[in-house]
Amino acid sequence: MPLLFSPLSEGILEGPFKPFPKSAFIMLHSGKNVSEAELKIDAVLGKCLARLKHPIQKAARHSGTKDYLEKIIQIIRGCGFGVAIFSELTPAATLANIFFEIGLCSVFGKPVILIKTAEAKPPSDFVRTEWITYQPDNAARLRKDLEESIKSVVELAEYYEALGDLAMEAEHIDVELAFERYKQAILIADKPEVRRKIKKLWSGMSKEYDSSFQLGASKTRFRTSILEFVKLLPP
Amino acid sequence: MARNRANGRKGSVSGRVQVKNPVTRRWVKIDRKTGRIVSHKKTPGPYKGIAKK
Repeated sequence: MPLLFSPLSEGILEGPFKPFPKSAFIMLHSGKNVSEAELKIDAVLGKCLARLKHPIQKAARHSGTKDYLEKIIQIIRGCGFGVAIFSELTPAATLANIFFEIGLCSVFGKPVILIKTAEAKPPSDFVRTEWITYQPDNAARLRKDLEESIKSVVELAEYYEALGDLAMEAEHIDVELAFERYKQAILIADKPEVRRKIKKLWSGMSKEYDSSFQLGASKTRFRTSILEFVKLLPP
Repeated sequence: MARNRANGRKGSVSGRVQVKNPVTRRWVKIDRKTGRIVSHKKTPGPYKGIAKK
């Protein structure tokens, strides 16, 4: 699996992070001059997430002495999914931050729900992405669309669990891949069964089996990635 | 295991399995040997001849 590097320290992003299972990381314009539409969307979203028992994580709510971007990265790593809100009135600088954070979510394997006003134009890279569009006179519709989107994200937990199971059932067992898939499932839905699977994976690695055999797939992947890179380099 | 017969293919392809992504609503093909995703279906509906997980 390719290593991820911190945009700040340039070191490998492998250190511990605090998991916030079932949590949603909210990306939006905050502070002064927030449009009414964004405030309304945020309020409806807050109620939907509370009803479906998904805690909210916002960067501004986390105190600390760390660099702000470092803090955001760690929160995203710990969350199950992200929700981005913007309107045609979102300032350009905030919009840039929101889409940078959406990019981070994608790199960390976090699904993102995008909510925008009808007048807001998505960047061209996102034209194929599905949106929830907010109509000011129809908050009930927004609630319904949001609940459906959140539920389909929660269903992803089962999908990731199935992918984890397939990695463990594979001829060349891939514990590294299975762990990442189970981790995604836990951060989204936190089912006890998946926690048990991670514990089983861990105890299997440390006791019953030869862990060097179980890590064979990662070694093969590593060797293949070097070979592919060298092969594809222009002469 | 899949076999080609006079009246079409019988059975599913071994070594592959498919799972549906609930967000994209598209089926994803996985290699049973490695447990890794090998392809995403571009059109709606499942892959033909591939067992579902």
